[in-house]
Amino acid sequence: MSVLSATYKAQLASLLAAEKDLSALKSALKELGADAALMGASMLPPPAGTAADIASLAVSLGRGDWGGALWDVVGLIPIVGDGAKAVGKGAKVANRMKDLEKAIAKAEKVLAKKQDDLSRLCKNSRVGKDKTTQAARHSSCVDCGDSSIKKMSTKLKPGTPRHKTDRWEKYKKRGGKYSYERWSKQYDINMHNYKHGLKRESDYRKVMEASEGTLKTPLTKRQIDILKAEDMYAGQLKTGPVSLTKENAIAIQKDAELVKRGWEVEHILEKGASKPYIQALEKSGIKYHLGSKIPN
Amino acid sequence: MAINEIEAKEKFEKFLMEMDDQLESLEDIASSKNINLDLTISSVDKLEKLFNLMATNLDKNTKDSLIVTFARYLGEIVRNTYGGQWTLPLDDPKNINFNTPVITGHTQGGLEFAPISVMRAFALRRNPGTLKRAIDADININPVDLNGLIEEE
Repeated sequence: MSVLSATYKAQLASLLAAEKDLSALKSALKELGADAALMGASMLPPPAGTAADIASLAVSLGRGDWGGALWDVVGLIPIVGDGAKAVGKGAKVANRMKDLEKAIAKAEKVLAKKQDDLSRLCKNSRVGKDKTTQAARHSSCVDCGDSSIKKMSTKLKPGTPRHKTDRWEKYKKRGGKYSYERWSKQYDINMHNYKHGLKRESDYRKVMEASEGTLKTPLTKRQIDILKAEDMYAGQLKTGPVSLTKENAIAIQKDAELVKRGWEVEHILEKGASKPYIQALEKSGIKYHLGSKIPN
Repeated sequence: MAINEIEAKEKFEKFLMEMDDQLESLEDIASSKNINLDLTISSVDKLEKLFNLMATNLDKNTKDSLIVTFARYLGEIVRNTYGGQWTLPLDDPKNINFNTPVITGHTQGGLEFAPISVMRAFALRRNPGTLKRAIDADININPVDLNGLIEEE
């Protein structure tokens, strides 16, 4: 029991440390988001823009961020500096935000695994009747119903074992008829496509020095895969062959709304598209590129 | 976030406070070039004309500042004509208009009219009618008709 207790304590400590890491990363991302917000304000003409530059400069110097501080000094020169700052610090902030987002995804994965390990340890424990251990279990374990850890759990990450189990159980409850083997095969294909798509989007953003974003349209929000706001460019990436399904037609209608508002919208069709899809793009004033724009 | 959000909101208030002076300055400049800006919808095309006159041989950064000044005027035309008010979206960092002054309440569906983006689009491509099309897209919502093209799934 003492060995199990020590293992339990070690795993619990490890889990709490992982939670702390995740929390720190999220805080850093939040801070960086605020930095980006300040940068946006400082693009306004003086004196409002200059005031924002001064505030931004104070924040940068306070953090010992000399690169950031340098760009803010450039920004203090009214009118002339803002564009240079946007390119320099904007790119830097965007890159750092991307790195942090990646690190958060990793940390969430680590946390999920540690939660699984701890749950498994509790389930396999033969000392469940021991009052002390039981008390510890109920205060720290997801399976034992601890609310504090449940609150830390975020949306399940696609492709993880927990995600797969969760989706399989929900599929069965909804009346799904596939055998697990068949379902699992399709799930794996979907996850591969999903991850491949995400990775390609990320690659494009890196090569094109772009970000991602959303915009309200009359047909609900539109997610933009490759966003270059300074160039008013919105790229949509399709890594597989596409046809004009109802869903895709709505997406194209949303993009047409962007075009009306002055955006250059381009669909990158890596594996081609059906004739109706191309016709829909042309009718909507949307540009398209057949094939990849960056190496695989 | 709270502190920076407060600062961002303060900058936005200053942006609003300086509005009239900026609008009047632009009207004075327009007048010196025999262009009459009066904050009505008929001034939209004139804004494009004036921008083309002023934004020649400028470095990118000066042009960027000019875009914001013209965007103020464009936003005010929309607000005066269709109602609404200037707002600063701060709830979603992924929103393209995050921390950028926009007009809301001028049309249905909670749309954000983003004058700075629209002016930037015009400055980049100089397509005549850009400003009017952007306003019209918000006021007369009419999604492109793709019904005849949709394929069977």
